Amino acid sequence: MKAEDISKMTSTALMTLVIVLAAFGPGLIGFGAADAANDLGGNVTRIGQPVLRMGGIELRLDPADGQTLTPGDEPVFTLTAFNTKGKPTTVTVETLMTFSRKPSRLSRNPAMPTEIRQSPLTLSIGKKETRIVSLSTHTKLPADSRVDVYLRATNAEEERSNPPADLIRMLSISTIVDPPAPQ
Amino acid sequence: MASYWPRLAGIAIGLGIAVMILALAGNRWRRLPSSGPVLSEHEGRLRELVIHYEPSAREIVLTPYRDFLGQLDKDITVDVVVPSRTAFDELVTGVGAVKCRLRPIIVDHAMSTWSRDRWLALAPVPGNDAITLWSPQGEMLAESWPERAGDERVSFDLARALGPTVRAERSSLYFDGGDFLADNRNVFVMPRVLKRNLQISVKDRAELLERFSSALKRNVILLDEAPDHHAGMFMASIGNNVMLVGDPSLGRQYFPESKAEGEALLPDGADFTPETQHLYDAVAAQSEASGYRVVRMPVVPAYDGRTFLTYVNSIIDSRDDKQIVYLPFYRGADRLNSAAKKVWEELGYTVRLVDCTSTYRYFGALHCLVNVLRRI
Repeated sequence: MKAEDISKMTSTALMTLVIVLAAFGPGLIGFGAADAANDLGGNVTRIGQPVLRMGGIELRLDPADGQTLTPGDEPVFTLTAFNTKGKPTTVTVETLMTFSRKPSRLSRNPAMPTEIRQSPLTLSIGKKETRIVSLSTHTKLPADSRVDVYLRATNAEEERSNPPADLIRMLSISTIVDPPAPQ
Repeated sequence: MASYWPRLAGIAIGLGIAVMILALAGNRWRRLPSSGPVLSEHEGRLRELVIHYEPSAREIVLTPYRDFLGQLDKDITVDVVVPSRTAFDELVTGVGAVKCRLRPIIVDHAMSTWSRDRWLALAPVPGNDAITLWSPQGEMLAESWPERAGDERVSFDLARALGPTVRAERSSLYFDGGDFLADNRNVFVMPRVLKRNLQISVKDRAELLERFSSALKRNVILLDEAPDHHAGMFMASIGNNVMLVGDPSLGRQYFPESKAEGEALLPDGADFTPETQHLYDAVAAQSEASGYRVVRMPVVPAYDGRTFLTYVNSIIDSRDDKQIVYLPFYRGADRLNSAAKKVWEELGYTVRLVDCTSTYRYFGALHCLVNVLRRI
């Protein structure tokens, strides 16, 4: 075996060892701690954009394009509803906005949020149709607050057979000015 | 091909050595050890507790800490999470002589004074004495609340300081420790946990309940309706299938009749509305339906929905010879205090009183300040 071959073999072996240990060895560090969201070894679900599903309808909510979301603005949202079924259907959508003021530093909890319910909106959607609806909130964003927007959807068929649907948080808006770092 | 053999041989040798090293590491390569069920609120003697002391909150916590720590038995260790040694020394001076052992856990970040909500303690599995601190994915409003952002790290600070008998794991779910009430059979979960997680970290309600059941190893009961607060503010499981549930109508009987005295206690006014009463009665009904004997306890919630004069926000120590409850009381609410003490005494508890007058206006009392790491 030539010296050159031994040198190549050795350097390749070292590089391989380092790469494999770097990839699989982090568990060796930080004994007793696992700052990974593994739920005690269980599978973890990663949700992208929230989707509300009711009776074959899929609902998504986004801030309308081109608007500012600062204190005093009245946000407008775009509701996208897609009927996955092969027949027309009707769904009623309720919108709830909650406003949580920036909490007191010393409190255990934020103060109770204020809730504003928008008038329910009933949509009729054809089979495999997508409808896009603009939702004007007519509600001014407060300063120094977090605003969460929830949807709940119902249709007559589901209501008869199932318990009331859950509220789903579709998006959050913050008007809280970053506090100074603690001294 | 002849020119590649040194590289191929090198890769094979490197892989072989790496596999041997990782295999020898043993535990590091295997899945992390599993954990036992969530600690019960009432079963077993207190052995190790965790409190936080942030000097900026001294006016809120020193009095209850003095009363509580001063009455703890000498076989109890209290880990005190502090931002500095100076803070720990200030606490020691402030609480005076105690029989329990105080141990500092010094952290290098902002923190709040509330220990309860940061993690849940899961018992060790047989053959392993490591307690697991199960902490949420993130703290509410941490992006704009520096103390909460620091609180996210506390369970890992504890694991680093106290390991290997304490380990920490972060869940992918969002919750506060106070959103749960656990005993030796069930875990009750607050309805708001659903809103924090649906379509954020779980697809649906069924998945959320399954994940909690799997992690906490108890039967999970999601409350249908409840006051919008942490469980320990209005309910307590105390053993022998007894659930204490707050009752505003009982609280009203003992609340000061004088407007001035009432407003001194609750400036926003006491909430005795039927809507609020219904929420407490709903908790009582669901507890009964789950097999508990429900005993009602006076409670006075304020209109702000956060400030409570509550007497279930307590710490239970089950010793061989007696059941002890560390019970909040509030100056200016003497009749309420007496009525609540009587309920506990009639249930067979030795009551040790803790002055929580300085804390309740910050939306918590004793149970909120103290987390239980270990019982035996």
